[in-house]
Amino acid sequence: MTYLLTPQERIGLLLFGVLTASGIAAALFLPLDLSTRLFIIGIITVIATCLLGYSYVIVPAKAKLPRSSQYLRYRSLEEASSFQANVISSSKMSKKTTMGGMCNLCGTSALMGFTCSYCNDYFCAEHRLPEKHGCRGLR
Amino acid sequence: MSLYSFSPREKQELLLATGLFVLVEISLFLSPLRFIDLLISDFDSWLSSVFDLVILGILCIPLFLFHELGHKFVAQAYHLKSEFRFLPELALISLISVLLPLKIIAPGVVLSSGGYNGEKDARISLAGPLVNLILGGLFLVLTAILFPGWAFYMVYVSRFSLDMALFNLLPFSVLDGSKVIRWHPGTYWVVFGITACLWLFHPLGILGVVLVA
Repeated sequence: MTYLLTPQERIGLLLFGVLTASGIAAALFLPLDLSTRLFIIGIITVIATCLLGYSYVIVPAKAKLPRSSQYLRYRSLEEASSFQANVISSSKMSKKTTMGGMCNLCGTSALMGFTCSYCNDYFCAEHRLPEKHGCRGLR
Repeated sequence: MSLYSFSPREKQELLLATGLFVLVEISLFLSPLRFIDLLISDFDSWLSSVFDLVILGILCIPLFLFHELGHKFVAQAYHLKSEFRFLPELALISLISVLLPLKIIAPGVVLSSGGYNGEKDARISLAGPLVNLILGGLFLVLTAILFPGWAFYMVYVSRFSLDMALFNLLPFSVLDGSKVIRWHPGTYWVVFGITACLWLFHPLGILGVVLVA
């Protein structure tokens, strides 16, 4: 399943595409000298890429994507097993079993994979549990 | 874990890989004929050629270093343990390519561990080519500002940076592009398309003549 972009990611991608394409077009078609053309392309590329980097990399990192390790910190074995039981039920899992596809985490093709009920991504048997793939649907 | 933490081993390996990268980039200017020409030329032109290579070598350092640091810092911002590792087999191939017309630059890779998933992997992978795009644009601006004096160096380094960005964005094998296209094809095609346009219309690109004319 394809990831849905957040509004700031959409704006970042749109600005990157439109600004850079306009910069290239302006440099190619406006009657300017060579150094001005290079300056326009260069400065627009820097600004547009910084905007894209900010929306795609810096903002999500500041928002702190969930660490799978935070789901693996148990004080006792009992707590660990209870946590696992609470996270997902086998009945829910079996309903969501899908035929064929690629594991969203390790990239291996899984003929009998699973779609996670929380994030709706497709995983192989090894990474099907939310704590195994650092489920972003559990935030 | 701090965002900017480095292990001593990582620093050494990063330094070694950067040196190898610079060597391969410089070798682009040293074809066998050029090398012979350099050996038989008089002292002044020899000195001038060596000066050119040294300046280009120094300017190429951030292209590789910042690309790898881009991956590393983004991974560490996602609370992953991330370190650069030198790959001896690939480094040897890179070293051999110094003597060949086809250049291969793969001295190492940033390895991350922890709560890893496809989304984080793609965002971390995207950071490297974006750093090269920024550097490519920055060196184009410097080409325009320092025109015509130092423009020769700046335009070549800008070209190398865009080469790196485009190569890493190819959607094959272990390259950064393959992880981004698997995560979000729309993002991939926009970034790849713009990078390809910049690469084509660069003054030293295949369609660069349109810009220079």
